[in-house]
Amino acid sequence: MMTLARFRVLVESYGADLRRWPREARDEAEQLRDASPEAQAFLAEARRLDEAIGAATAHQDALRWRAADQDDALARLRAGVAARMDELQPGSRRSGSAPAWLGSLFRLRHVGWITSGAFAVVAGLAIGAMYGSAPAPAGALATLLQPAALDFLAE
Amino acid sequence: MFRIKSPRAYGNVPDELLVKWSAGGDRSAFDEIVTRHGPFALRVAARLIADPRIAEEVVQEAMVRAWCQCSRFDERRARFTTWLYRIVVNLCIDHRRRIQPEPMPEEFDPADPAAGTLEMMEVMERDATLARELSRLPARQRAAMTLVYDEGLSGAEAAEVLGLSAKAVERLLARARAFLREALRSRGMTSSSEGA
Repeated sequence: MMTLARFRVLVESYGADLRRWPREARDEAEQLRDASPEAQAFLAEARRLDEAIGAATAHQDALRWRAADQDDALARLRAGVAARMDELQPGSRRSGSAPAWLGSLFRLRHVGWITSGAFAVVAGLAIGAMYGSAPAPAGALATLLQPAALDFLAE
Repeated sequence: MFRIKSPRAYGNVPDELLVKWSAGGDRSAFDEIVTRHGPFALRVAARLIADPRIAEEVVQEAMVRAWCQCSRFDERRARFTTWLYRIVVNLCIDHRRRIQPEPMPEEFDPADPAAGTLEMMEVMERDATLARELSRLPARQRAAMTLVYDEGLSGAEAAEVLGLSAKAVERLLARARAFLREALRSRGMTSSSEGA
């Protein structure tokens, strides 16, 4: 036979709806409920809190979710997951013969970085060609760093 | 000679078989999984994460992780739903712990000018207060409440999803209820709509 203390522990966890209770405890709980006014009082108090929690949850849901929103959200989820699978799965239709990372590399949001990087490489090569085409005379770098080399700034 | 491969029927296939097909690269099988279990995942995420847009992103991430880990699923160790829900709930809890506390939406205003009666306003204020307190519950307590109260999982099933014992889930639920009861009491409200 279930004790009143155990009954109270279960009420305070699962609330007044015995269908939520652990299956193995339900029969004894029903017997105690039918026999004990104290058990009935615990259930009545818990039922009020259950109703308040249910109303508050419905209030939250009404703000966050509407029925149509749920259908839309599921459609977005399926599309989003499919797109991510395209990126991840080797040999998928979208990736084709190119590796998946290549596709993501050329996403629009990366174009700025790619352009900047390419420009930096080209500029580096050009400067390298200018200064690297002839052997630099000894001390050339030191000469450039002398104040006289910066005279044009004072003009 | 051509052999026409008959298309697979997904509608009545058990989850465990869909996962096997998914592990073999069958995207339609995984789409069926998303269709079946996406609504649950979205509802749970929406209750654990205040911003629905972020909740959707977290669910999408969970589904992609599940897709990547399909080959690791072992039906001898767990039911598929337990395995999938654990991925979803854990990601939601992780997100919530990073972001806490989450404010309620600004339009969460109990004062509805059309409500009319004082009693109605009191009930709405109580609901709003409790909803705010629900969003302030620690992540695991909120997750336990959502799984057991809202989604109808048994304590044992919720315990599997959360990776806890059934007793630990009972304690989480009891602490959550005590917190909510005390929140109402401290504001001079009761959990009874007619007893305020």
